[in-house]
Amino acid sequence: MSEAPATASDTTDTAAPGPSLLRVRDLAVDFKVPVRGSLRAARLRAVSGVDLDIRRGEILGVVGESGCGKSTTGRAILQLLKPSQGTVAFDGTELTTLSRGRMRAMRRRMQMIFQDPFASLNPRMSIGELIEEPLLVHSDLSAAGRRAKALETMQLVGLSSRWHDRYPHEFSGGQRQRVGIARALVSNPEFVVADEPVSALDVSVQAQIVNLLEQLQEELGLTMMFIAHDLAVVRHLCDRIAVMYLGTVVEVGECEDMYTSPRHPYTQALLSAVPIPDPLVEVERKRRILTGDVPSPLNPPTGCRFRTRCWKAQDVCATQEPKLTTTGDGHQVACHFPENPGPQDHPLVAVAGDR
Amino acid sequence: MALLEVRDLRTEFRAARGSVTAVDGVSFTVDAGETVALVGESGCGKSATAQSIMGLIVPPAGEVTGGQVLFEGRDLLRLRPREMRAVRGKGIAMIFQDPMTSLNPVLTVGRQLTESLELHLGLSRRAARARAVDLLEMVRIPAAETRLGSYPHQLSGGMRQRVMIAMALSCDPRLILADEITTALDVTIQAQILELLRDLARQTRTAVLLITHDLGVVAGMAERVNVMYAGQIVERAETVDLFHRPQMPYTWGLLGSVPRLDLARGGRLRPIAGRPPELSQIPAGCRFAPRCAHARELCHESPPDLTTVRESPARGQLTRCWGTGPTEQGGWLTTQDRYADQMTEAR
Repeated sequence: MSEAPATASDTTDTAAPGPSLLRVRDLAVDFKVPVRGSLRAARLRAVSGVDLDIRRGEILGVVGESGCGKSTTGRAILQLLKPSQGTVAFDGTELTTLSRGRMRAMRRRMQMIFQDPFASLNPRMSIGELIEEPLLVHSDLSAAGRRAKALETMQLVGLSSRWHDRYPHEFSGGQRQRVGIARALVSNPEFVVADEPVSALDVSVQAQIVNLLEQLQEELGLTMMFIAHDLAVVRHLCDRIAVMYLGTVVEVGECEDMYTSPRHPYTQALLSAVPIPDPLVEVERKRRILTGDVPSPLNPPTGCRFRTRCWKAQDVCATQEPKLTTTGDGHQVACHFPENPGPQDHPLVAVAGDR
Repeated sequence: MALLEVRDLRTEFRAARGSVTAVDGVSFTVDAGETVALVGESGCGKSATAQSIMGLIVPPAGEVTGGQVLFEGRDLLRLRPREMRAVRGKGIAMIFQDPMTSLNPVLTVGRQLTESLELHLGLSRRAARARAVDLLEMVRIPAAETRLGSYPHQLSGGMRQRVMIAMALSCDPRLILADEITTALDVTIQAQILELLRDLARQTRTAVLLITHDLGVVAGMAERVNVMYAGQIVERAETVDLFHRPQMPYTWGLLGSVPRLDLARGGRLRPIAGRPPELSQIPAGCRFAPRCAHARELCHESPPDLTTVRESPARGQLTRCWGTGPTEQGGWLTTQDRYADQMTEAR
């Protein structure tokens, strides 16, 4: 039998970069926040100068800690929040300048799955009504047609049709998330932003939903932006990953590449902080523990935003903001002193030295 | 003698119809200086166990209806409120998930620290203040002296949790109960806090009862682990054994449900089907049987006991499972069935 050589690297997934379904350039989102002792509100720039491309049919993971702007980016892409600057092109159409009516029509093609399904479900509507609701806006189906479509979608997400007339309070967290997913998918969207869809779930149920999302993405050929803080789940599910810190994208790359040779110091620290469920690995592991907290986005550091916690920071980091630059292998990193590609100092692999 | 020995603890909560037993016959020990984990999913009874130990279950909402909590040989369940107050802080200190709910929002950090030092240790104001600065430095809070004047809302989540750890350590307790202390924190801050707790517990030889849902946290912190499911301990082992030779199918399920950063990416996750039982509708037999792929008739009919399935040099490994049990009727699960082998393959 002719087998492929065992050394064939499965990490260099050299699938030619597919065409972008979504192209985000220089996106910024501002919030107004009250300032104590002043009548004038301060401007908080939650997302600043974000460039992202999402290829048709891929899952792009967006990771980062609270306040890094990952959810805000997702919402601004869907125009649920008004960007203060920048462009968002979806399948060639610029969204930021669309009229309300045209944007509403566009929404059928782009949907969102929320973290807390209960908060996003009207408790007085039955499961069937909840799943049909988007069709009132996004289709001209008859009542019977909507019902049929809702039942079909329920089956797709693994909800029994006998739940059709039940109410959300009778559902467990995992089932509610299935309802949230069904609502997002019932209008046959091409693009879905999933904002921490499994974060509130217990691990055994979380795995069920992760598998469901994986299966749906394959079956329906969805393009997905998967926002999460759990790096292990993101790696399991995603094709490419973008790491955000304090409102900016600091690194983007192919999933495995990101985990085996992270270039940005923050990505390295993030990976090294994830606990591994194996005591033998944990005991051997060399950790890179960051000092200090994330600075306030109201007053971000000059230059590189990560410099106040970075062990490699030098003078230039305080004066010049590093631009997101593409390296030869298509990896993007925003750092004056990125690591060289290679697994030598890898925060996870370095410890698996027993073989 | 164990520092803490919980024997057959039973805690019930009042519910809409009748009551539910959140903790049902839980027994375990924590030795001096040792870190022991209670791990499980929401509603498994791990936090209720911690609250029962601390005497924080207050009727009529809930009640400890049976068992003993022996701390240094004394049954805490029989102490008068006044005696229990002396145990809290000096004997056992507790750190919660959300420090904001346990810190007083209108008192400065310094005052909250000095108050307990004056109260429990009888220090003078000045001595208490000096000790408070020491404590904040010990938990690696920068500019400790000036931080004494801060209010809790002026601190970040990580800083607040450091203050909580400082408060917990302030009276040199023998045991710290840490209930989901990093669940609300970001991963880089979680790493800081866990490292801090690990270092300080080691330095001060304080025992820790770590309550968490996160297997990764358990792996890095605990020496022994108790896995809880639906109000009971279903497996107990040394940490390395639990992760490398899990015996009970529920534990395999938990381990199979989490993707691992350090292993090659492969196939689908192996979740556990269904979800934990409602406490008001506990199955008659093994509580995990309805979700267990290996369950037989016996499992559905008769509840298994927690029994030793593997002798190990230290304290052995116990499961509450017919399939792995050493009894005559049970024990049909072979090592081939066991999760450990699948893990080895995955490497």
